[in-house]
Amino acid sequence: MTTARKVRANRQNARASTGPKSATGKARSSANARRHRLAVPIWSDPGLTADALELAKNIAGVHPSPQVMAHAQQVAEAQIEVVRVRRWRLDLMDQHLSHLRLENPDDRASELRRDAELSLKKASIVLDLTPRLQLLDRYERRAVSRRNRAIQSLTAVRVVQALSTGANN
Amino acid sequence: MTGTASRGKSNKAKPPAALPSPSVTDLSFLGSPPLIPGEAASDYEQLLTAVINVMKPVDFLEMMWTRDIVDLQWDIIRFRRIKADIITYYHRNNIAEAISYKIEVLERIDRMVMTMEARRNAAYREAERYRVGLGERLRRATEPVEDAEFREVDDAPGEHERAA
Repeated sequence: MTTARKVRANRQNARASTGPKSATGKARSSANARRHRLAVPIWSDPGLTADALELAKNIAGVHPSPQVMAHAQQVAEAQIEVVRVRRWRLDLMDQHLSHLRLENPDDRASELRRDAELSLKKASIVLDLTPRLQLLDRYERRAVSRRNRAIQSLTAVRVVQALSTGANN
Repeated sequence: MTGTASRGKSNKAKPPAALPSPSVTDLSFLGSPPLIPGEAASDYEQLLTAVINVMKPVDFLEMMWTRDIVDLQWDIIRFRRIKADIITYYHRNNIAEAISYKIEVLERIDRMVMTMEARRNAAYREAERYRVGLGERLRRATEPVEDAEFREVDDAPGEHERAA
């Protein structure tokens, strides 16, 4: 498990070596959050907050301690962020592909599924979108690794509690 | 499937909150299936069921990784299909053109697929680490307690008679 010290050092190094350098670049990237809102904390959105709280309850299980609940909320928050990025990516692809009038394969025989021209058009649209999709991937990867770290912390707390419960018995 | 899993014999303690039969509907908390126009929901469900049958997730955390793996695998399949479509299309006209003109595109697809495969494998590893780690650590945490309880019974002769 990556130590908290290493995570802090990685973040400091990343801040020093990534992101825009010029004033124009900084101004442009500062508008990113307004464009897709993927950098906005989920707790500022009532709908996402409700989803996260519900998920946290399910993760924490029955009669959780406040500590377990707090860690479960961190896991849930990161997971909802993952879901938000994925939804955004799907919407983006949907937006660009919907005009192709691709048949729903569920409704058709398998031999009719492929129309070569249409498939190529779809392929080229998806390929054109890949730079944007890769940018979204970065948000997702960050959220996933935050979620995995939160799960490790939650697991550690659960084990400590199991130990202390065992000792008290 | 039942949602409960048979664990290794050494894992006496299991993570809590076993899931009921997972399905796409049950996974709505993880977002809608990543289908784009032209993709079959039934194909996705088939993949999801197959992975669930292998992973046998028992709690919400394991379900998250399961969903990660399924969605990444779905993306991998999508890009492989795209690659096949490109090759097929150009093959009909001129295979040489496909190889020379589209080689860069095909390489880009390969790189993306490799990245997705790496992320999928990482999700597998995380799930496995959680499963083995939590089970093993809980077992270690509870084992001394179980031993202590066992010794206590041993050290108290006549306990059986009193219990009877």
